[in-house]
Amino acid sequence: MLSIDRVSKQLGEFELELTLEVPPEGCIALVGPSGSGKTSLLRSVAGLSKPDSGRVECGGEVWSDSANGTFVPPEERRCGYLFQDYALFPHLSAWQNVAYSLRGPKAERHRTAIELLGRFGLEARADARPRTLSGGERQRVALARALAVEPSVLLLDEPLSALDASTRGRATRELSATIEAAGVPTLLVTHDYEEAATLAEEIGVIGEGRIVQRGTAGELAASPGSAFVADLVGSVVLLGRAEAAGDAGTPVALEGGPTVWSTDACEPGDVALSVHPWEILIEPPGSEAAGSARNRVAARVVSVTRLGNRVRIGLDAGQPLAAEVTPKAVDELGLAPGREVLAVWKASATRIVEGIPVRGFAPKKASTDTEGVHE
Amino acid sequence: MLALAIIILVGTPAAYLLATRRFRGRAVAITLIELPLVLPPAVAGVGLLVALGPDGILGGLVSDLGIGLVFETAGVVVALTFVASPFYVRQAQSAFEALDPAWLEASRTLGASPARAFATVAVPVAVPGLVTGAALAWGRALGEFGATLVFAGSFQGITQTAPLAIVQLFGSDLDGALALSAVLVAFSAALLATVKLTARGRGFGLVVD
Repeated sequence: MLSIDRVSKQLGEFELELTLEVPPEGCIALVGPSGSGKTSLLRSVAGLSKPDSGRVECGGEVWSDSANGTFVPPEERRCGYLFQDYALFPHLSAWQNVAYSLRGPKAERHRTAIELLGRFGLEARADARPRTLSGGERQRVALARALAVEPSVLLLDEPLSALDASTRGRATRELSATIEAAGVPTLLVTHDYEEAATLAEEIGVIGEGRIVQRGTAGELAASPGSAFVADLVGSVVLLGRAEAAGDAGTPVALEGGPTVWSTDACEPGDVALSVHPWEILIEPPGSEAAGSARNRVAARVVSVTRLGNRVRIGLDAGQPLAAEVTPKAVDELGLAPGREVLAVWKASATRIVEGIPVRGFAPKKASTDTEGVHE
Repeated sequence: MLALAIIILVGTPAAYLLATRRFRGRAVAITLIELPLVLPPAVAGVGLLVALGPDGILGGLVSDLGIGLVFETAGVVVALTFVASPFYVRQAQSAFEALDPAWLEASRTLGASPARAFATVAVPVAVPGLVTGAALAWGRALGEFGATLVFAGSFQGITQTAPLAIVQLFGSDLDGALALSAVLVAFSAALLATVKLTARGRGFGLVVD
C-alpha cells in the first residue's frame, strides 16, 4: 500500500495538494494536462523533491513526514521510477544500465541484467548504447532497469508518450503485463486518457494540483463531473445558456448556434454540455427528422481523421463539434472538409456537466503538443 | 603536473556543485574563481605575494606550517594553480550543466548516494568536457610567466618554468631559446591533438540525435 496523505508543494501559480492511496497490487493513473502537478507528485513520492508538508508512507514505512521532519533519501526508497524520456545513462550499454542498481560480482550482475532484459526480448541488444536503441527498446530497457531494484512501488511518468503510434500497441500490452507481474502499488501519470484507461483500474483526474474526480474509466466517461473532465475523456464540450426546464427537458441556447435539448435538469444560466462523439450522427443537410433524436444542428465538416476502424469528423457548428462514424458512412455521405451536414443527437445523450467551465480549461490537443517528445 | 592534479581534484567537485546547486553566494563564488582570468599575470603574482608571502596576510600561517612558497618549487605550483584553475573550472561547469538532470535523478532512485551519482554518472558522461578543460588549464600553466616570475622568481632547477627559461636564454643563447620553443610548440600541438581525438572517441552523443 502506498499512501500519500495531504502532500503539498507550491508550484508556481498553484499548489499541489493531494491525498491518495494506492492498494498493494493496484494501479492508479492520474490524468491531467501538462503542468497540472503530476510529475511533481511522483517526484515527491520518490524523494527527488521534498514536499512542503504532508506524509508519504509505503508498505508501513514512513518515507517523509513534515510533522516530525522524517525524510528518507531517494536511494533508500527502492522506487521503480520510469522517467518520461527514460533517462538511460548514455555512457553505459543496455545491460550496464539495467545492472546499475545491482551489487555483487560483475558476472552475477551481468547474468541478472541479461535475465531482466530477456523478459522484454532484448537479450540481443544487451551491449548496445542507448542512442542506438529505438524508442520502444529504450522504454523496455528503462523498465528492466526500474524492476532491477525490486521496487516497493512503481512510478511511471508518461510511460508511452515518447513512443510513436506503431510501437504503442505492443508497448501498452507489455507494460500492462509488467505492472501486473510486479505486484506492487503502481502510480502512473499521463496526459493521455486512453493510456490511463488501458493501464489502470482507477483514474484520478488532476487539474492544478488537485484531484478533480476519481473513478473507473467507465464511470468518468459516463458521468464527467465537469467540462474539464469531459474534455479530457474525449467528449465534445459545448457552451450555452440553459433556459427554464419543461416537460420536454432543458433547452440550452448554444453560443453562436441554435437551441438544443438535454434531459438533465439544471437552473437557468450559463452551462457546459457534454456529448460523446460516437453518439453524434451525421445526416445530409435538409434531411427530415426520422428518429427520436431531437437535436439537429447544421454544421460544416472541418477535418476527417481515421482512427482504427472509426473515422472522427471534426465539425464547425459555431462551436467545435466532433462525430465518430464508420468509413462506410464517410463514403456514402461524401464527407470531406467544406461539406455542409446536419449533426444529430438525442436529448438523453446530452449531459449538463456544469455551470461555468473550470479555470485552466484547455483543449486536450494543446496539452499533448506541449508535452515534448525529445527525439 | 602537480598543479594540474590539484586543479582537477578540487576543481571537479567544485564545478559540479556550481553547476547543479543553487545556493546563496554562488554568483560571488563564480566571480572569484574567474577573477584570475581577467587579472594581469603580474598583478596575480603580486597578489599572491601579498597574500601568501613572508610578510603577507596568510604568510605567517604558511611559514608556521613549515612550507616555503616564495622562490620555491611549491610557489610555482601555487602560482600555476591560481592562474590556470579558472580554465578548468569554467569548462567543467558547463560540461556538468549540459547533463540531463534526469540522469542524476535516475541514479538516485536506483540506489546511488549523491556522491555515487557524481562519480558514476556525472563525471563519466562529462569526460569530454573535463578533458578539454584540463588541456586548456595545462596549456595555460605551461605558458605561465608573469605570476610565476613575480611570486616564485626564476631559479634554474627550482622555480624556472619553460617560458622563463626561454626568456633567459633569449638574451644569451638564441639557438637554445629556439630549441626550447620548438619543444614547447611540438608539445602543445601534441596536447591539442590528443584532446581532440580523445573528445571525439569518448563522445556519447550528448547532442540528442
